[in-house]
Amino acid sequence: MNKKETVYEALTNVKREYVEEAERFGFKKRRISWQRVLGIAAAACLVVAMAAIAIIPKRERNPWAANNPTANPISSGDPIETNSPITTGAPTETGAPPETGAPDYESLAFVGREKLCDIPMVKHISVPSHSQLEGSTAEALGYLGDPAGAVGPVGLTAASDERFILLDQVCKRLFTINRDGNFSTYFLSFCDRPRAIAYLDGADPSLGDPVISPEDSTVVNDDGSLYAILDDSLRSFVGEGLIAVLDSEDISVLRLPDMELICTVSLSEQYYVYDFNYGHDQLRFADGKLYFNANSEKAYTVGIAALFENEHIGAEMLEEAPAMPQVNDVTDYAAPVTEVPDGMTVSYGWFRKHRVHGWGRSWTVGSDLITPIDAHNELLLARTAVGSDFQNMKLFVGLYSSETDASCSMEIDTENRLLPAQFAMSPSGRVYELEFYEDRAELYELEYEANEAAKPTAAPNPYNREEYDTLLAFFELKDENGVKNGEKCFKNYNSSKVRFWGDDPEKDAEESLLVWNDDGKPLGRTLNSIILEGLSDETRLVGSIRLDKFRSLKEFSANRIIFEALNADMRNSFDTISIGDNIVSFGCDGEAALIADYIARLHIGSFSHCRYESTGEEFGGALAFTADLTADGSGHVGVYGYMDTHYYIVKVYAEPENGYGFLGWFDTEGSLISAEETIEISYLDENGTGVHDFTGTARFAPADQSELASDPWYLEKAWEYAEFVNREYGFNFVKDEAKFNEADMRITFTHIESEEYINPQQIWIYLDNTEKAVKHVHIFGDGSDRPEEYASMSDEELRALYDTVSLISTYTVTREDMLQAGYTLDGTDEDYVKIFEYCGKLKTAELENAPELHFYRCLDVDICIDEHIAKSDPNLNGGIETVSCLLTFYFRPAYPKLFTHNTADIGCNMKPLDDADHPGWIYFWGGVDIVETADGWSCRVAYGVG
Amino acid sequence: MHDASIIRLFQNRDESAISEVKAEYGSVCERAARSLLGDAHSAEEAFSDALMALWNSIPPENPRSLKAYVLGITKKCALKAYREKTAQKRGGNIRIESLDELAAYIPGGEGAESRADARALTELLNRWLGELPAEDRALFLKRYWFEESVSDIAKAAGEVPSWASSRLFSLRKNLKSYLEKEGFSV
Repeated sequence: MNKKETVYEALTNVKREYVEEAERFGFKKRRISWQRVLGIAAAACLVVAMAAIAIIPKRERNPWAANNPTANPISSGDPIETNSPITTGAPTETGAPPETGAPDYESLAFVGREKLCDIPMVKHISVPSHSQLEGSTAEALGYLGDPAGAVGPVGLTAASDERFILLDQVCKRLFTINRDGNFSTYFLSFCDRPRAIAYLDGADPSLGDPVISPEDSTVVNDDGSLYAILDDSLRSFVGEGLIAVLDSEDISVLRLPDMELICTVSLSEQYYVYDFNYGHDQLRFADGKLYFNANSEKAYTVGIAALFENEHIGAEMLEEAPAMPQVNDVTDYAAPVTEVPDGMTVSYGWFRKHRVHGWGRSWTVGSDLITPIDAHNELLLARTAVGSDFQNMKLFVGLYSSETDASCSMEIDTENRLLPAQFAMSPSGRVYELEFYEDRAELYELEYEANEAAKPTAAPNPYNREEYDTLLAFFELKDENGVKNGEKCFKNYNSSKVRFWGDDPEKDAEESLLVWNDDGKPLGRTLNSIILEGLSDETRLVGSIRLDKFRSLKEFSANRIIFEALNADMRNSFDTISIGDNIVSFGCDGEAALIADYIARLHIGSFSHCRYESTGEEFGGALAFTADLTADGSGHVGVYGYMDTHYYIVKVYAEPENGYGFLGWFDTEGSLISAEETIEISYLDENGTGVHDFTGTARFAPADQSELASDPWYLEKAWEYAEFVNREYGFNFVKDEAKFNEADMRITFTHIESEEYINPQQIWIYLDNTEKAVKHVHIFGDGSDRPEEYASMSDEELRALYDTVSLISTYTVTREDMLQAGYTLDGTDEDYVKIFEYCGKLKTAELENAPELHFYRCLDVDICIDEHIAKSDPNLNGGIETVSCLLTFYFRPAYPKLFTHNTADIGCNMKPLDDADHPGWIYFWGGVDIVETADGWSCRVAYGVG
Repeated sequence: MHDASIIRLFQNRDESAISEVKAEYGSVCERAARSLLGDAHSAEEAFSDALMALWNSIPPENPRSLKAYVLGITKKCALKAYREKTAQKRGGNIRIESLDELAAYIPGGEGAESRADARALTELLNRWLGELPAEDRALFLKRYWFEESVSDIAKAAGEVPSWASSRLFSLRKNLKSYLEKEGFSV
């Protein structure tokens, strides 16, 4: 067995269930995943939240000192539904900068900072009980959050004396805490469930807060429906007539009031529930969905994963629940938790994290805790990961938003600690720093001086610098309208965005189609695949992209893009070069080779002297050939290859642009090689597949654009000829379909498919306006078993034909030759007739192979008859007796030819055969002289001399 | 005719089931066999063998996808024929574009591969496929099991070909990494 056989067998035997599933599988059509939507919403909210802070005058940014409740965008009315910053379009209302892209800073120098607030260190993430809430305001800040995520201490805050604003990091909603003495109102907002689950005494109905009855701890929705029943310590939650009871391994869901058991959800590793340390107070239901809160940092991460898992399960179990994301969506989130390794690869982990929207989790590098928290799209960067615990650790709160345009990246120092390398700022341009201490975190806004170089930011650290720079330079090139190449290929092009340079097309197929190798260190990751797709049907990129700069590029694919130049002068081994429909030019310099494992498809505009080489073994022979193709006019040329059943086919092809027609492939002498647009240049011999070198220029000319004028002379003249072609050669050109190209004086008739010829397309008839005659004709075929060309007969061709035919050929004919050819010789004059015939056949064979006559398919000879035989007198001819005879050679053009010449004008004696049975035939007179020799005869054949 | 109807014909031992399968899946099966065997005659024979196997296996089998089932049998018959055909001359060169594409990502070079290698690879493929999301699994198998073209797959998914090729590329890389991690090499 060889390798491919092994793979084939292994594949053939994969589980049938998988194959059946694949056969029946219906792909979702192009869509945006719900995670992505959520991410977008989250990012938008983050911007909103930041903007909300931004509007607070700087001196008031300390939340504890602020006293302007109206600064809170949700300070009036229902804080959930009507005043959510999501629904109120807060970015503009709150003064957030327009989303026009982050400023491009090449570097930042931090020159100072201003402390905004203290945030208490949070050790446990949970919804607090009464007693917990009755502590300090600061403590509450740390605890509050959505029960789905309870994201903890970076909840950004603003406050007045009476009301606090907290950012729900998971759902990106602002919610409020009213303060009257002992923190009397406590309000939580759910992600997309705009209702409260718990209120303590003192809820303010004027703010839209539902009312809770202290007597039975029942939460009632506005419409009077039961929403939640609270026990005296919030240790268990029930909702909408359901109660969930958490056991050590299971969650049981019961229906009230008879406590009917609905389902039991088993917690196991497949739900990513590990290190799970929770109590009943971390479990709750809302809208038929089950939520966890765990009370350790890890557990709360896990809790989120479990949350979704159980949302899904809940949806299955509870018919009234809405459809929820698939389990796989959850595993997509949760999987990276276990994949973040130590050391360098943590940077990869960061990028991964962006892609999974950074659900809160704790990661460690060695023993250093890098990010105690993070939430959707904030990126918390450790500036100095010193120490092994929170103490003295400083974090940057980079304003990262994967869906807008802010990002940042990091470096790792020699001790594998993360360091900030650069920041691409959020539209607000703010950078925050969180500094952690044992009992609190301090939030600062950094003051910085930025080098606002217009040029894009430097390469993200993991990427190979040269490749990054090459690609970046190409993307940054602007056309005459100031539009960058990158902007023409990517909807949200922003080269300073880490996400843009991503490495996983699965996650960002709609945005970044750059695939980087994981190896390549220490040079950085190199590009493996570049896939570009124009945003419009004719995306024209400027400048040249040098593919040879990418050391390990395997795949280059471009669709709907016109390149000005694309240089494939490279030594790389490509899997695929796929260049879409339009290329203007493509340069292969000098002797450089385009080396490919196989030529999948190379569709290009024009190039010169590209040499292809394959590794050879795959196709039974080396596929090395030179294709020297040029496009003359408005069209494209290219090469493509594909595997037939056993045979690797390589073809060159030409393709006119819209509004242009293809004239043919021409050699360096200007002679027509073929009128077929596609020519196969592969062949099969005992060594396997090989490919011919090919040199050719594809000529294109403007297509017929104007309709015929009414009844012009040329229409009738041309139609006369077209009718002849129809009649004699089985075409079916239609007069009504005629088009006239005035510039070329050309009439085009279109063919309707006939039985004899398969899909021939057009006949182009060129006319001479002076002579009022047909001058030149082309008929375009389709590559069936006919010669490619239906050339008309020009003077030059006619002369070439005449010159070839009239060449004197001398043959030596022995008696053995004659006998072997089947003739019997009896010594009479009849022998001469046979010798004439034999010599005629020799000449015929010669003419059949004459390249000048390739368009004459048939050759016929009228052998001389007795009365035409003449013998010379040896006494008058140096003692040599010559026997002569006149012959007539008839040439039947293989395909329609014009023969309108006066052959005397060019010294020919060819004549058209004026015979209705032989249309288009021409004939020559010729002569044969035979001289008897010792071994037989010398036969001298000459034509055109009659 | 629907799969269920054809299967019912098999279950009723109605020989028209064979002609129905031929009409429904003959061309796709023969094309698959021909891609391995190289000539139409051998492919036809392999498909005939497959039909016989089909007749003998339904019932008791009751495949969920008749196309997948009959195509699978055809591929196995074709592989058997291929081995007989190339038994005398080692190293028959299979020329299937999608297979070439995939084989390059299977660790190991050309050596004295054994049937055990194939079985081990099948086992690992099954495990790996089992870990993939259903869509990726379907994508992979449509390309490398059903030998569908990238553009056809993309079209079915309502995507551009580069979408499919980039995802397949990623899957091949993933598979390679998985096999290397498992220490597999042919």
